[in-house]
Amino acid sequence: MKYLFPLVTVAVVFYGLVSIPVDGAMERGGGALSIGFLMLTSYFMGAMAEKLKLARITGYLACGILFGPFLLGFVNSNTVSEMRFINDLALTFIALAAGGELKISGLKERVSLIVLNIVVQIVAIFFGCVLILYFLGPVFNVVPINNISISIAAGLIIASVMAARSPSTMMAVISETRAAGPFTETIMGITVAMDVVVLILFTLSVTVGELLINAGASLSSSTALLLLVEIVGNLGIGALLGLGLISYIKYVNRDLPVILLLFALLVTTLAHFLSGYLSGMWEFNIIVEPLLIAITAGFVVENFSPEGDELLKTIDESSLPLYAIFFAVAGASVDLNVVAEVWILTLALMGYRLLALSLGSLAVGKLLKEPTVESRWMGLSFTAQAGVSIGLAVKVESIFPEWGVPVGSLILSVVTLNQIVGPVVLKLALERVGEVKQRKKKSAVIYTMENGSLKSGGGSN
Amino acid sequence: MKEIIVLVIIVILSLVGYRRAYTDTRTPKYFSPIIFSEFLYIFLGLLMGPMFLNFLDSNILDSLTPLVLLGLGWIGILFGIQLKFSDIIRFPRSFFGVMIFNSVVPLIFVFIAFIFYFFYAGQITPTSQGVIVAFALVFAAMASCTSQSTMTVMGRGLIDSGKRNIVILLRYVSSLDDMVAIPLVGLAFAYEGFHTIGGEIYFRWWDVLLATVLLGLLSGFILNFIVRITEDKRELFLVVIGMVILSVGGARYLNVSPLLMSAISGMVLANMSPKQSEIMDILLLGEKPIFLIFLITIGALLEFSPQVLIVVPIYIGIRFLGKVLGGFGASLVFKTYFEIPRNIGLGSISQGSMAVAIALSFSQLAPDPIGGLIIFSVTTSILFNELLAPMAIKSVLGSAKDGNRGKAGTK
Repeated sequence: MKYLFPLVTVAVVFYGLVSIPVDGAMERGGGALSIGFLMLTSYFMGAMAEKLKLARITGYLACGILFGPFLLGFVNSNTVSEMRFINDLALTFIALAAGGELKISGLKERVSLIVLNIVVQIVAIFFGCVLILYFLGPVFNVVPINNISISIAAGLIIASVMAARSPSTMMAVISETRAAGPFTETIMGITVAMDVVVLILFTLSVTVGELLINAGASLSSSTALLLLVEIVGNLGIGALLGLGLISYIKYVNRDLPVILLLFALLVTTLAHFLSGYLSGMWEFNIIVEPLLIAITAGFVVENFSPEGDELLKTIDESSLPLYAIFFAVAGASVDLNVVAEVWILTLALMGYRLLALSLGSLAVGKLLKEPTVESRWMGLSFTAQAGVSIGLAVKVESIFPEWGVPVGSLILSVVTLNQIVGPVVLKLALERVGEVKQRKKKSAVIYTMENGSLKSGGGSN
Repeated sequence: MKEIIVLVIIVILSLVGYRRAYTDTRTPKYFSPIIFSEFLYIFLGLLMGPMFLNFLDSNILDSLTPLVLLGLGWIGILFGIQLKFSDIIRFPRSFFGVMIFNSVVPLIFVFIAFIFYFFYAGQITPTSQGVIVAFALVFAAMASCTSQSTMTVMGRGLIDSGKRNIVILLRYVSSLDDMVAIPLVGLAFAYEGFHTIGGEIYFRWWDVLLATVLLGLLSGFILNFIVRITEDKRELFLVVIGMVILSVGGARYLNVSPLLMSAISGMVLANMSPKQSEIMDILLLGEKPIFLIFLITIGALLEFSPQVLIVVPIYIGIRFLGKVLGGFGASLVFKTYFEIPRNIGLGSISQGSMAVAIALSFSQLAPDPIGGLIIFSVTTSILFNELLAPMAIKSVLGSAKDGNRGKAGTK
């Protein structure tokens, strides 16, 4: 256990430091201290997880949970809140890579498999989630008793979020295991496509929910228009930024890691600004989703230029610190108290979701005569949920302040467990399907001081 | 939103500027291209700052603090990691003596001048003796620093000429003389009034200084241990960044000098780590862009007050005098296998990243108007000295005798 000693040492030093109550210390250095601490300790715990045959990100998450506010409390909730911005930034950066992993040529071959999986899984998830909320929601005080409209509205909204996946988790595990092959491409394609579908479903669920609850409300053509604007807007911004990246890589191609980081920073800030502006100033309930924008940009670079490999190589070389801090902060954000409050309903929803995903994929696999081992593991590989789901849970609380808070907490609770279990199952799925370590192996990345830029050397076999 | 756009603009400008100024391989005839770049970036900061467009307002400058702090830790550890004892002792002892004279003499001159000015000129009401000594130490530390960049640019093409020994000596001096300044900054940070618990002073200055040194050693040992278990360069990259952030955070938490602490960590790595050169490659990637970000920041922090008309000439003049006399004294005292020119001190007048880092690390602690004076002095001094440096170095090289090829640095 060569990682245990440095882990304990760093933890002891950190604890010793923050125990000294110097005036104004936390405001001055608390944030940086916590970021550095989580980055190092998550690295150690990630490496330890790998030794235990688990995904590294399981170690990063465990680190966040262990040192976060709800267990040891080394990093307090205020600091975790301050770090959310880094989280968003990392998520957008990782999403670029997720988009870059999608190749039109590969997707074309599997389009029926992807579309059928999405449709069947969504139908199964919606059916069960609405029923669970309708019958069990009032029992656990998540929705008001004797209010059928709210129960159904909450069920629809929860179902739309339950359909969401985690492109970041998938990207992290695929990158770590160097997985490649038809199964990997298919689950990546489904995960990314589902991101677009979830945005549509969520907007529709919210609209239907409002129709059910407010007797006077009506479904207007503007709703459909807004939905169209939302999707086209997200994809359009992403495509434009993708074209910008292509030009940069083609004509400049220097300091690409820093430029990509700035790109992620701009996309994240712009998306938050636009979302806030449109809903605050114009009362449009439009979601400008940085994840979707970044995925589209990565997709455009990969499929409409020869610069895709350069993009993926750069992200691969420089993303480890971001993965570590992103998943450690995600772990530290886990609110175990919420899980403890609604654990029965959480387990019911989580269990049903996994069942729906598994049976859906099995049925589609049988129908399209896909290899059994792939169909068996495909549904389970979508267990993980993260960024988008959390964002939508928070949105529910703000759109429906009267009853949205317990519903949002329930969503967060399910997402928390899925995020913990997801990476373990995904790694297992990739191993069982036999696509681990199938990616072209690059020799050790060599950073050279060639014109000051981060470059990789070595060939490939 | 505004903060992010400004940050993005600053980083992009720093990358572009770094490319243009520092990768130009031509040897300049009169002025180094660096001066244009430094002037441009300081001017840009000034233009965007509160004095003119107010695009970089005080809120945005506050939000840039983490980036500046990261830069300070980065610069500190990068300096420390170059202090490999086995490399330093390869050079003749007289080189070390010349370096000490070149940095200590201006340091003492400036320190005495500022103590005298603060206490007796009556321009600034001293809040306490300790804090005034701390600020005089900061001015002195900045004065002792020499920038390597102009020497590197001027020395291109000369390393194989008859002036080789002087070029090597000047490079040696400019590489190492920050080792005098950095502990002094640590001492200034150790002023007792900066470290209180519930408003009470619990630590004496030597406690704080000792704590800085011990923390630096501790983080160096920990980093040395961790880098040994990293399995590839991606992991090394993560560990170095994580440790720099952790160290800077720790220094800020305790309000001790991030420069001294990280320089000590770097020194431990330089002498103990088998991966010293790989770590240095990673750190070098950020050096120049960080310096340019520093320049924009000090440009934005520039604030004119009538006192700069007195303080800045004192600072620049006394420093210049100290450098010239220090070099002169060194040439009299130290003998080596070639003749050291009497004007060797002129070769080390240029100022750069370390002086700016010191100014930035301390300006936040300083009450008005001293913080502003520190920033104004270092900015003007950089521009003045970088403008003169190429001609000054040429003059030193002109005074040196030809054909004195030796074996410095190859023993």
